[in-house]
Formats: sequence, structure tokens, C-alpha cells
Amino acid sequence: MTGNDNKNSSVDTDKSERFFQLLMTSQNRIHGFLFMMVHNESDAEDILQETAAAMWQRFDDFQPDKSFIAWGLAIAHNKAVNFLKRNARTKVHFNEDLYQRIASIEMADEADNTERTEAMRTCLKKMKKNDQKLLLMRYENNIPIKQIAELLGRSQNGIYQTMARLHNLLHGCIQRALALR
Amino acid sequence: MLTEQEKLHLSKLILKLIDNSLCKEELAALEQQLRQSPDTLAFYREFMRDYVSLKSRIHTYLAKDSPAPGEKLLDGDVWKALSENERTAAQMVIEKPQKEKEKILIEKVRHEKLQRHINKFSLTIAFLSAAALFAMILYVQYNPRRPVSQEVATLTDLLNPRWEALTEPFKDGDRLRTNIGPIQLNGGFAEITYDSGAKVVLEGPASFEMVSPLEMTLHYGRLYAKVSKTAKGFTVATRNSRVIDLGTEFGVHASFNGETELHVFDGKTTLVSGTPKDEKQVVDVVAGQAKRVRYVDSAVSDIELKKEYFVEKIDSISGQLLRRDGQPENQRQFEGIKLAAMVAGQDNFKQNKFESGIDPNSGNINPEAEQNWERTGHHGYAAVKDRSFIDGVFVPDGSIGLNKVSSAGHTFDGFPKTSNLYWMDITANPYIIEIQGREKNASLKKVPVTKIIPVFDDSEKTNQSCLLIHPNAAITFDLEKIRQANPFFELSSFTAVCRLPQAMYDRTINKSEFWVLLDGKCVFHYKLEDQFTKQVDIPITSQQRFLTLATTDGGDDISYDWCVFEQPEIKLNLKD
Repeated sequence: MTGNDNKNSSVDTDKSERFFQLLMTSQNRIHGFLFMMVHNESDAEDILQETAAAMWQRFDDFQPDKSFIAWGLAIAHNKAVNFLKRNARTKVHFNEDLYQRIASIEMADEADNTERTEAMRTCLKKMKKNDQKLLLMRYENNIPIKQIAELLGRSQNGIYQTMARLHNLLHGCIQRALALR
Repeated sequence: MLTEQEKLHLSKLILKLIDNSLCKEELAALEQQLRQSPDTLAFYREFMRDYVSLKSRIHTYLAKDSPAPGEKLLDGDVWKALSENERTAAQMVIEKPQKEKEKILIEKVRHEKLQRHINKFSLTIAFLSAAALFAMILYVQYNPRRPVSQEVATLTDLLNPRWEALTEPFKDGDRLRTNIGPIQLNGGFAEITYDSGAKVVLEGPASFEMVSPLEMTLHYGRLYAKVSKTAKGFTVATRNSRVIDLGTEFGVHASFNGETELHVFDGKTTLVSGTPKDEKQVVDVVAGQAKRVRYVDSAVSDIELKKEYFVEKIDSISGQLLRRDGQPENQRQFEGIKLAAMVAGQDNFKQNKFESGIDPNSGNINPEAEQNWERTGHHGYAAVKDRSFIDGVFVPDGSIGLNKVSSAGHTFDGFPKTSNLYWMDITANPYIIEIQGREKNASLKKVPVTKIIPVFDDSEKTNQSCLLIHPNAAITFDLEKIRQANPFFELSSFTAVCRLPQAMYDRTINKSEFWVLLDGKCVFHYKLEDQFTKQVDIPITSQQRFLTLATTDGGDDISYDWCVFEQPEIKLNLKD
């Protein structure tokens, strides 16, 4: 069946598009929150997927005049708390009340990450090429610090020191950029 | 406020926390700091947000200005810098940040000069560094989990695309690389053609990623893949499944709720279900079958094959798309193009309104097809306005020799001598309208109707379309415009049945002649006196532009010469 794109939009397509755009705008923020809670990449990604699935299932209940991010963070919080309970014995964790404090602060902030993302983009571009390459190796090529240290015959501590320096360079630049806005 | 040294120390601890390499004491120390210092907690939160951003989007951020990660990754300078930084890390001094009113600058780092002692130990370290560099080069180059970014496909068409706001929009013709992170299509459609031969149409909202020359990851959304033999093994991965093509056409939907659906329309695929942590289930899925992989446990179940759910082809020029029906490739049939609709006007045809007619002499469209005697042709060719696919009309008469049959100047000299008279407008109205009496040489006036006779008998199929072309009249269709309006198809043939209306079988002998021309060449000719019906099936090539349908009076007068092209259609074949 041939047709024109505009004529074939259905209610379901509109709903999917609305959800998708809201999710993509807020996903970074929700992912960041989950990472604060579980500080493990693959765990945070798993819980993020669970959160997105739950948000889609309940999307009909979402009131458009409310904050989508706040709504998503609340669902993510539940998922994270359940995860922490299930894995209390097997994973390294802080005490529960610290996570509660983190969650309270995060959930009170409804802003998305757009400004910080823009600042990060600007600051990354200003970094020295070699510093950029190091970050790419860690975050794009996923080479663990332990492996870099082994390959170079260096101490892990030294590699952590270097990566920490790069993070701090970036952090400082981002903070100044945000302060100027 | 945290000092720079405190931030450095904190960053180290956080990185080790993420890598699960904190010892007990370090974990306890970190927790204590987070509890006691609001600044530390704020720093922790910002660090984690930035970490996630870097992880998911660093390539997008650096895409325009930096080389693709694989290109300069093996640059020895990088490793020298790393080594230098690592050896001198304890001595690094970070200057305090510039004043806020100044422009944004990355902090300057001063390296205190070290006195270098050339000795055996240093030489050994240098040698080891070179060896390590070589090992790293091998690691990055040959580790399949660490692919170098490479161009693998081209965006070959886009239809109303809406891309993520933060990135520069992709354009038709852009090359797509692996390892650039997820590409977010908020709406519209994108056609991607892999260099390996696979063609994928994505329907937004969708988030997808190019993984390799033979693989794509679909995070969310819907895609349709058509894979040539050269790309056998092409794989689409979702959160909980991998679909491996074995020479096929299939659709995949990765829904927001975490489920994956696979619909196979042609050929065979292998479905491997399960997340990286799950035990895998492997099942073959063939044409006509569809499967769902559940989110909770990656269990696989049978579902109904969805028809018209996936977009198979898009065409940005015409703004059209084609949705995949449920038929196997060798059984697909497409509705022919109805020429009667082109005469009636497409909208009228859809509303079953066929009353209008086209005067074959002037090309004028009359709201009700007119009929009258003593209407004479002017031996010319008239364009028809307001009918997009009709090139023109004329009154055929062999007495002038060459008759012009198209706007491009094609001519035909095979028509017999006719009376050069015509009775009725060319119409798609399936009714013969009989009139009261006949007055020769009377002035042209609207004649009273006595009877309306349907072209099709009650015993015949209903919903038949037809063109009533009462001699002497002809109409030419523009096949090129028809092709442009149907971008996914080739025009394969013209079919119709040339006939008398059944009600006219026992009337006076009708000697009318039917003609079909392609670019002015006669490809079909039929004299009604032989029999009452004759099937027409004429192949059309891609080069032919004009299709002419004509009737002539057979040498006697035009009375009762009711000529019908029943179900005149242009048959379609799907383009590859």
C-alpha cells in the first residue's frame, strides 16, 4: 500500500513520537541519576532500560503539564531502590541513607541536562588533542584503566591520576561555562 | 569549596568506585566525605552526570573537530604524552581558574621540569614503553571488541526526517560510520544502504547505531531490511535479540517496553534471543512467520505477521512510501493503474462520480459528458487541462495522412479515412445515454434523453471500470508522468477488453475499430465486426512515453458505435 507520510500518521505514531522525544531529552538526566545510585555502568544501563519500559507502559497516566523528568526520576528511583535491595550482599554499596539523600536532591531538580551537555561539548573541543584522545580511549573504546596500566607497565594509581586530572579539567571548564550563562 | 587537590583525590576515588576497585578503607573514606561535605556530594553528582555524558556521547561531541578515533589512535605522541603525564603526575600543579569575567579557558597545567637522568633504568623504561606501545597498537587493531570507526553505509534517501536537536542534521548522501554513538531519528524515515548490499528503511521515532559493515543495533523503533546475497549474515541487534539474515527481507520493531518483534517476509533468518547476561535461545524464522522476544525473560513466542506495518520503500521526490504487504516476494500483486480514474479525475473516481467527459476535439472537460451529432474534428491535437496524466485528445481521420498523437510530435498514418465526426465526449461513465430521435443538420443543442443503458449487464461483475470512447475519438496518456507518480514501480503492460456493451449486441452491425498505439506505433488493432470482445495485453517498455487509445467508425456512419475499453489498466511490477 502506497501513501503519503503525512496522511498516514496515526494516533499511535503521535504517541510514540511524543514519548520518544520526551524520553530522549530526559534520558541523559535519568541515566546520570541511576549512575549516582548504582555507580556501575552495566547495572545503570539495565535499570535505565527497565525504567524506560515502565515509563512507556505508564505513559497514558503521565500528565502533560507535569515535568516528564521528575516523573521519570521517580520511576527510576523505585527501580534503583529495588536493585540495591536485591543486590545488597553481592555489590559494593554505600549505606542506604546516603542513596536516599542523593535521590532527594536529584528528584528536586527538574531541569534536563541540555546546558551541561552544551558546556561539555564546548569544553571538550577546547582540550588538547592528546587529552581528547585519552578520553576517547577510555569512553569510546572502553579500554579499562586496569588494562591501560598493564599494557604500559605502569601503576593503576598513576593512570587513575591522569584520568582524574582530565575529569577535573573538564569539570572546571563546565562549571565556569555554566556560571557565565 | 573543594581545593583542586581535593577534587583530584575525589575524582580518583570515584573512578575507582566505578571500576569496583576501591578497597574497604577507601570506600569508607569516600562515603564519609559524601555524607559530611555538601560540596563533595555536589561534586560526586556532577562527576557522575559528566561520566554518563562522556560514555554515551563523546563521539558526537568531538565528531566534527577531531579525527575519527581510529585514525590517530595509534599515534605515538599520544602514548608519549601519556607516559610523560603518568611519570610526572605527582608533580603536576594546576593553576587556579581564571576570573569569571574572562573568557572560558581550560586550566593551564604547569609541568615542573624534571631532571632527567639517562641511565640503564630509564633506557629499560623507554624500551618497555615502546614495546607497550606496540602491544597497544596490536590490541586496538585486532581486538574485535574494539573496532576502529569506519564508513560502512550511505544515507540514500530521507522522507520528512526530524533528527535529534543537539546534532547537525544528517543529509541525503551522507556517509555513516561505526562507533559514532546512537543516531536519533525523532520522526520521518531514513533509507540507509550499506556498502555490503543491505538496505534498511528506518521509521522514526528510532534510535540506532552502525556497528560494522554487516551489523546495526536498533535501540528503539522500527526498521525494514532487504538484504542482497552479498550481505548474507547481515545482523540487526536489539536489547534482547540478534536477527541474522540468511538472504531475506524482514522487519524488526524494538519497542519502548523492551520487547523485540521480528517479522520475516521473504527468505530465512536466525533469531538469537537473550540479553548479554541471559542464556541464549536460537530459532530459525522463515517467510510468513513472526516472533516476539519478551522483555522480562527474553522468551520467544509466535505472533501474527503484521501487514502494512513496516515501510519498505520511500521516495523523497514524490513524498511517497510503500508499506510491506504480507505476501511472499514471488506472490506479490499490486493494483493496476486505472485509466478510467485519469479520465474521470482521481477524486471523482474515488467518490464514484464518473459523469464528466472530455471533448476529443477541443480537450475541454465537461461536467457531464456531452453527446450530439454533427460534431466535427479539426484535424488537430488538443491538450487536456486538469487531468495530470492525460497528454491530449484528437479525432482520428486517415484522410489527412499523418495524425498527431502526442504533444512530443509522434504521428500515426495508419488510421483509415473516417467521417471526421464524433458523437460523444470520452468518458468513464459506464452508461449509454440514448436520445430521442435524430435530426440531421439540426443546430447543436442538448438532446433529450430517452434511456440510460448500463454498459455492464447485471450478470457481469460489479465495480468494473471502463472508458467509453465513441468513434471517432482518441486519447493519449503520458506514461512518464505516471511513472513519476509511482516511483516504486515499473509499468509492465496495458490490459483491457475491447467490446460492445452487452445491451448493444443485438442492435445494428457495429463496424468500429479499436486502436492502441505506443509512441505513435500501432501495437493493437481490432475490428468489432469479427466478434464482440477482444482481450488486450500489450507490454510496455521503460522507454515508451505515450499510450494512445482510439476508435474509428469502420467506414459507415457513427450511429450506435458504442465502443468500450473495459477495465483499462496499466499493470505494475515492483522495482528492485
